[in-house]
Amino acid sequence: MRTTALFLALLLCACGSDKKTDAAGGTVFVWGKSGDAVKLDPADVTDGESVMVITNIYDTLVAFQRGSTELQPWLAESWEASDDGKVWTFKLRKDVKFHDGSDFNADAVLFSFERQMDPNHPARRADSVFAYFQENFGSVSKIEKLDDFTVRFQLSQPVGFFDSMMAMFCVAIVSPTAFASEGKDSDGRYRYDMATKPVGTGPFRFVSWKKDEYIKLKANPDHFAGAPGVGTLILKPIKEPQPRLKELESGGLQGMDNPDLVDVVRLGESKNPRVVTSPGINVCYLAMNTLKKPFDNVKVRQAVAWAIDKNRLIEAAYAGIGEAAVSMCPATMKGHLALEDRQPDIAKAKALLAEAGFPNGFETTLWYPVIQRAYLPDSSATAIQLAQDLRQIGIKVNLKKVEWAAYLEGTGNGVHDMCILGWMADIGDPDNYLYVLLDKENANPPGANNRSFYKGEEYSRLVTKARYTANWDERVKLYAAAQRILFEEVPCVPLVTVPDFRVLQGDVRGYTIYPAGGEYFREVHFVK
Amino acid sequence: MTFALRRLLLTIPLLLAVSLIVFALSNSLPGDAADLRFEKQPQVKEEWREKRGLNDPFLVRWGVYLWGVCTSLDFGDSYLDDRPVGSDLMEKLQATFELTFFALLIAMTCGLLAGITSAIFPRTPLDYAVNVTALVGISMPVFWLGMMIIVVAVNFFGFAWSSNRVDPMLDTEHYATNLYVLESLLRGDWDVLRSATRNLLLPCIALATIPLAVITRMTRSAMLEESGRDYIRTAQAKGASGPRVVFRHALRNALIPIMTITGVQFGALMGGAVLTETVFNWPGLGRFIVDRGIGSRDTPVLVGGILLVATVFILTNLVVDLLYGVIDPRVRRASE
Repeated sequence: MRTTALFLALLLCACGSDKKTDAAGGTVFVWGKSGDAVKLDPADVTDGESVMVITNIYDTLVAFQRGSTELQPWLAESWEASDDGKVWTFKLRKDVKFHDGSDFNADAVLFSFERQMDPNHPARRADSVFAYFQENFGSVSKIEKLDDFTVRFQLSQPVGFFDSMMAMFCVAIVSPTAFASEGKDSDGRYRYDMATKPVGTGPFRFVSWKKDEYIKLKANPDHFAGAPGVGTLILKPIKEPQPRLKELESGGLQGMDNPDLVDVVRLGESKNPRVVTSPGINVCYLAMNTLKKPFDNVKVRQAVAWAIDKNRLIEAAYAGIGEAAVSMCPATMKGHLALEDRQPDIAKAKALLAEAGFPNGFETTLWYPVIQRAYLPDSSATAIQLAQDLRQIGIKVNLKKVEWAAYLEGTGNGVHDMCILGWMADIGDPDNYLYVLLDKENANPPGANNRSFYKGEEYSRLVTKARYTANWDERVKLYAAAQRILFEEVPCVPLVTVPDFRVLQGDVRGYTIYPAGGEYFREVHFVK
Repeated sequence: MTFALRRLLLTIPLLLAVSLIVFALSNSLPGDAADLRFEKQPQVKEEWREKRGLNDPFLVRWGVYLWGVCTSLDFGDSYLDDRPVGSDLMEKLQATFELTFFALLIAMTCGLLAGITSAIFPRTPLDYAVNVTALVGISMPVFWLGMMIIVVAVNFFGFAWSSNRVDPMLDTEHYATNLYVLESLLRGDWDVLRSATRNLLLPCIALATIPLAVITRMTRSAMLEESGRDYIRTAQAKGASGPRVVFRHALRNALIPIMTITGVQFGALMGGAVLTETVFNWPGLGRFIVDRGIGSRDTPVLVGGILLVATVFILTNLVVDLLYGVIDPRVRRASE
């Protein structure tokens, strides 16, 4: 009874105002995100929630310009590529320090790369798998230090967009001094855990992490690009979008990501809170398994493409928000080819089916996943809408709803007839869509990214050539030709590109959405 | 004492069986942690599976797991962050304990009072009101109720609720436990105590509705049953006062079924408050098991979490059994 009395007494005096300043008198910015980070070691991360934190603690040699996928010098002042695209030289800034006070220089860059290239490097654990590096940087054969502030990369094959790759979070520069600070284990590996105690050069320093509750960062006043606009940054995971918005509306958060699309519509032009948006670099698509009948027949695939009404799909499953996608390389990505899309035409689709030998249609199965992603906010509604469209041309679609892990395994093995998937860019380059998702090299189960198992010879030749070409104008031509082939052969039907949405309090300024992923809070501040 | 010891020993084969079943079930699920973690990097999946032993037969993995648990209380490394899951599980257990404990406190206090009231005045409007409220409480889905509580508290009462357990700007990094209310009370850290109680209140109320309804109805029926017995009439005949008859005689006897149900509720909520924890963003055990253990196919979290919940459940029941003896001397004598 006494406990209850105390409990109630405390509540009566519990209605204080929110603290808005930290101990040093700086402002506090609380950001609501959809999930907690997994690790804070840039090399050892594969999930977007971790990346959003990492981008504020570490810097990369090259950075994205504000709100775009264009590049700007960052830790590297300048860089140049040899004519054959195989040798890349980066000149580093001289005025940068890590959060632990040590100097940033060529040795730190070498350290950050070598730990990912050498399985026996002391700065990695025995069970570490540095997935992003392994998947994307296989072409780096050698990295050398020319002087204290110049590094040179030798590539085994020319990569035209190597500078874009240097803006990826996985090659952010970590502090070698921090690793050495706790000594080595008996197996010769550093004890220091970068995943829970991150030390970089970025605009925010790590303070503490209560798992599933919050990550606390404080401003790095010595950052080379200038001190951040807020004193303390708190990143707070709130899984469900509605409670997240509720908390923002009650003043507990100053900003949040991924609101429900219906809430975006509801908030509309509201000034406080305010919705910010940017055209997303993502695509949701319907993949048809070309290894299976009848989808091995191009006419059948074309018929499917003619039958789908993308605008109605956007109304039904995306709250009317989103752009119909025409190419697998989204309109927001450089290298996109603006083609005239097919307008839904039932007669034409039926004629194509008849030509293919299915005048009465056929029965098939559509897999769809139990997840919510920005590009797939309501997978059931999407699947149902597609099934309705296809029924109009006589294709009877059985819907198969599959849990996410099983979905990835099954579709990666090619068990499905048709499936719904989406993709968000890892690298600001068309290669990340056209090669990764549709090249024949990526059509090998298990775990194929090419879920159509499409193996177009000419297509593969084009995207592979573009991959190893340094000249951008030439690459654009190759990608245009490749996208034309895709449009005719239709291994998958691009459906929708969904914009990114964030919600901010009315007094927040300086926030920008970066389309290639990650959050950058350096310039965020409050209006006076 | 031998009774308690025997019960404790019985938990060992029980936990073994639980761990084997969970291992077998999680093994039979399609897709694994590698499919999710390396969704975009198919090349590294196999390498990782090999390094982490996911390719071993599941009986081998079960054996390795048991060996770790028995020899060094090592619950394995997570398949998601590659770090030991034991400390994470203990943290979540404490967070859930705090929530469950205070929810049950509310439920017990209100449930007993309401149940007794309606038993004293059976078939009156008061009784019906309590009954209907309990019925509504038991039928209302907690995720909806939780949202409504937030909406009402925040929009109508301006209650500054935040889904933190404690304000992140307060200095709690040096806390030894994850029981903020208790530890801040012991430390005399009033700011933390205030912040922690404030954030605990709404999820507590939402969670309390589940056991509250059960306790109310159980109290009512147990009290009604007792009040018709001979010893009550005897007590009234010898001139005992009304309250004395109710609290001293009837309630004491009615407590046994009430305690049983409360114990069961406590055990169930320790692992089963998933919906409340999700709505209120409470970093508890149930949510951890569902989101991480199943959602991310993090088998060490799944197995460790379920073992932990099972242990808590068994221990709670044991404590309830021992408490019978405290309340009812006949039970005590019988077990001696």
